[in-house]
Amino acid sequence: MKNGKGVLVLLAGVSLVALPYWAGDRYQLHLATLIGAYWVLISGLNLVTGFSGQLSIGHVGLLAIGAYAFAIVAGKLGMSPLLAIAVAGAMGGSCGLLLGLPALRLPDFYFAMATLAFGLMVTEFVLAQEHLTGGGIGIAVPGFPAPFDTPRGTYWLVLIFAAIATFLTWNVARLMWGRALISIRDSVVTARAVGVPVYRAKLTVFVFSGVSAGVGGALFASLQGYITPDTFVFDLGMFFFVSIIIGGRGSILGPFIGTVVLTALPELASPLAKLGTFLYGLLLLAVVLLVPEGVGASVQKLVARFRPGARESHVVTPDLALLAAAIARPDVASRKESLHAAAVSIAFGGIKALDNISLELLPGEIHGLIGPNGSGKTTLLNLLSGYYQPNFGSVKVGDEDLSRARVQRRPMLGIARTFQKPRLLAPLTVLDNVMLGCWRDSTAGFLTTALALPRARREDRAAREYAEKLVVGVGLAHAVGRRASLLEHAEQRFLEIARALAARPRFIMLDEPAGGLTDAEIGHLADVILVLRDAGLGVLLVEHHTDFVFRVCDRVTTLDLGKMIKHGPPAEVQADPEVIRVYLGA
Amino acid sequence: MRVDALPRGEQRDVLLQVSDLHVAYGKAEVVHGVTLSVRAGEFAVVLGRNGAGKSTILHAISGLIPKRQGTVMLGGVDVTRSKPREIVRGGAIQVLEGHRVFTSLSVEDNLLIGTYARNPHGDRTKLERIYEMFPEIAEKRHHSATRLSGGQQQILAVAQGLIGDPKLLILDEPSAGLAPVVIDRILNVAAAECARGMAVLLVEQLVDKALRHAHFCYVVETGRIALASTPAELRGSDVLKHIYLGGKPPVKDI
Amino acid sequence: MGTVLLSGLAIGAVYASTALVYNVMYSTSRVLSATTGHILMLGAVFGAWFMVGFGLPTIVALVGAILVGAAFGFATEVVAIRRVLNRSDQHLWLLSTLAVATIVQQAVGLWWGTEPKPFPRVLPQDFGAGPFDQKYWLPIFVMIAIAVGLDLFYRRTMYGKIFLAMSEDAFAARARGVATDRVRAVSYLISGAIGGAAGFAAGQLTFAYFALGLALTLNGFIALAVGGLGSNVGAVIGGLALGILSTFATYFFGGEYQQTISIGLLLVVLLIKPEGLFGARKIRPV
Repeated sequence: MKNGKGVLVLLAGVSLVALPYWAGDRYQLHLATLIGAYWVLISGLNLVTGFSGQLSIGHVGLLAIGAYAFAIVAGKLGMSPLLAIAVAGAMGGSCGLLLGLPALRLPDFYFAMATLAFGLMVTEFVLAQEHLTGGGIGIAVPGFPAPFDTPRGTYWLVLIFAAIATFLTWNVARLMWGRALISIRDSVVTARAVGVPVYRAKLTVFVFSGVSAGVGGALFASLQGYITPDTFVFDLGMFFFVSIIIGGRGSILGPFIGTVVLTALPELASPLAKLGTFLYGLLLLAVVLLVPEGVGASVQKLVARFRPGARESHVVTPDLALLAAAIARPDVASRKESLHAAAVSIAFGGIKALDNISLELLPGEIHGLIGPNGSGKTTLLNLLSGYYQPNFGSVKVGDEDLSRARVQRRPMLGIARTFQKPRLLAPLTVLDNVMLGCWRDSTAGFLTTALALPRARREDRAAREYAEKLVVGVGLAHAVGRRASLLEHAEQRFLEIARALAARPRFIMLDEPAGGLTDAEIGHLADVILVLRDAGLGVLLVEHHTDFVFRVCDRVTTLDLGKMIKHGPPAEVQADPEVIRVYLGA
Repeated sequence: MRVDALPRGEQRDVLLQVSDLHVAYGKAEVVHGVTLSVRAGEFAVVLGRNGAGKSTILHAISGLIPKRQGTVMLGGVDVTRSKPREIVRGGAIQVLEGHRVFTSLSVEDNLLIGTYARNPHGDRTKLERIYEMFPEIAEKRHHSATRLSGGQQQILAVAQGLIGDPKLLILDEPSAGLAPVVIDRILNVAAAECARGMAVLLVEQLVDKALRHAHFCYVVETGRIALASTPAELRGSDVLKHIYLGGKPPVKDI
Repeated sequence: MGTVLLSGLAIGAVYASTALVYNVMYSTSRVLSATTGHILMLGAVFGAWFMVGFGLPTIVALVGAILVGAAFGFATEVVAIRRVLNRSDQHLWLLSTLAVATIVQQAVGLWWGTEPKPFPRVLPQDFGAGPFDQKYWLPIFVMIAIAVGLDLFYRRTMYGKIFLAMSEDAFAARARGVATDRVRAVSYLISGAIGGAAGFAAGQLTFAYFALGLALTLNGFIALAVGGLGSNVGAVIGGLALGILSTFATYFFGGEYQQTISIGLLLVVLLIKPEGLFGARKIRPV
């Protein structure tokens, strides 16, 4: 199938290069060139909006900056136009940085409004700095030197940049960074839990989108020949934004098709041209209400429904031997440090949630944590995994104090966890979800990834191989390529465990993993946990299912109202009168 | 289904009948075919450890979450598809877990909201009785609910339920995080109202206190009714200990 | 100078009214609707149309503007909010309200035209009235009426208290028998009515202009963010502060950087107090 795809891409590429010869007239060539210039911006914006979920509706401001920078530098200052493109890109990137630094810290609506305001601010600036920009009258934009000075030549120049933009963003999308960005969009909690530096990642793609907007602006301006502030109105920004949403977030092809459709649509039927932005709004509303994942994903789902084949299995069958082999590591087995909470206390609003609790999780041990409602189990787990900081006491791995370390640091320290309610990236496959867990081992930066340098491709390949073993090991071989949204509850639970294991942890903390599982599935869960223990991991099992806990654990700690009641081997805890009193009140 | 065949004391009408209830959160089914009933004037208790699905059952009965399967009859009327408002007007009022009162309102306004379902302007005539029942709330009637302690807020939440003149008062773990004195107060009030003809459906983790007032008990284990019996029978057996602390497999569900 | 202050207060009152409308919708739906500014725009445009196009008396036109606003608010809830709130995707309501806002702005642009059209006198008055000109006092008066009205509504009526209860804990409100879907729809209806009246009052200041919607959505939001989301006192203070600041900036430095200055104000406030001057600690930065 890969060869088939390759042939298609080749055909598409050839026809795009040959377009000036088969496209109807000059006007259509101009249109194609325009689409190319837009696409340079939109492909960058796609990473920001489509992938990392930051709804930037004012990106047109960055386009304007690139356009004016090019016009001024190449026109007024007489710099070589090709060099001027680079300047425009740099300007776009710097302004993207200036905007992104404060704006990306804001929640959704605030961020959207901030980008909107930015777009208006750019227009204000342009109008105010008349001597530089020509103010309201506008400014002429030079064309490109030979061989790019003909319509065909311009088209090929734009095609080169469009191809570069596609190449860069496609690489980011398919390698580890793409998964990381999608996790930021769909489940920030998961992103942090696997160690993704959320703010830094958002800022990086935003700056990249600034560069692509700047370059796109330069190309666009030269194509227009003359620009005024009116060229860069909110409507144009909406057009970019809507192309991505209707094409489908999380894909490269979708927004490209969206761009083509939205540019071509007003041209095909002239009555539609007058409606312009009204139509974009209507399309956006239709997509949001009817096919929120975008047209591309919905088509995919429709096709999948009609594909013949046996009814899909949802039975989880772990391959314990494979799992054991996959996670076996000499470095894990040899280290003796434990993860421990030492005399931790934490209070929320005057209520002591944990009072002088000490718990030690040794490697190669399964440690159960039980207690009735409000006992503080979840608080302790959240404390160990970095969501809370203790008021007193400390959390350490060996001698290293983690009390002040943020959640994102945990995977680097070899600490992983699962969640009470499974958190998955719904539109990605099971394999992709587990591969996200391998982020901890990804050293490839954004540029390395965008250029698909050997390191990025190597790490992706290694992650894929490892993730596959884990997926089969926990029992999801039948669903490797399935979209995570189609998984049943039990499958989701095991997927979370596989993702946690992908970070090669020394300690794994499971938050009520038996919730909603049948007896058979709990049996499989127990088998998997034992394999983890035997491989030398320290397993913390927080559970209500006391039966399961006493069966599987080496040691059990019981909490009640924030205090430790009893701690020891299961048989002792089970028979302890205090524990019985706590549960039965007798 | 054989629940009704067990001896239940004097014959009383069935007020709430839940049959074969299945509830799911997204893909996860957490309640697998629960059948239980509460008779008029009866104090029924549902026990079970956390995560067994007790709150889910209650939320489904009150129409707060959707049901995958099963029926709920209230006073002979099918309320399976009813909105929470209709069920409250039908006489089944639930006090949620965790002293959920409205802190942005005063104590008195909180109580008036308890009468909202039957009277859109709030029925002030109902306040008198509640203030007599709960003098500690009466003192603070014009204070904002934020100024009450946790225990007082829980009492307010129960009062907010009682003011609606329920035929069935549903209490979801009223004891959570409260001092024993406060828990006793709440349960005593509920028992007193029960003696006056109101039915009570109490979900609790604290077995001992719950059994003290109960006429009948259900034990829930991973989304199923594991046992239905009188308090005396329950106390006499080991079943509870095994359900909470493991060991012998639980009694086969009925 | 006095006139500058007055016009700052007047436009600030328009921003404050927009922020108040945001708050009403936010309280029951936890949604910041991109359509908020457009409600006022419709009030201004339809008010002008009723009076100029149909020659209707002022009161009738005002009622008409209120009805149009209410209908638009209600339609927003039904189309853009109701179906979308149940989905797990957090961003959808932003997209749906943005879509509705775009649709309505473009539709009005196509029908009414893209040029700002003058709004007729509401009360008989000369055009040389100076500081007594109704174009300043009408928005201020209406803003005060809205703020006081909302306060009375929340503190004195049962329905207002239901709003507050639902805003704090919608699940508990449902358990108490509050029909939360219906209450939410009514809140959008009410905010539409309020916005329609505010837009009508603002017409002489802002003109009947199709692009007013976007400008007010943005500036009303800045006022809201400065004052603190969820606080009506904050909405009023934030709006007036924004209005005065941008008018004085225009007076002293020329009107070229108005938007920049407004955003500057917001940034300064957010840096010091991210939840706004009177806001509750709900907004957590990433």
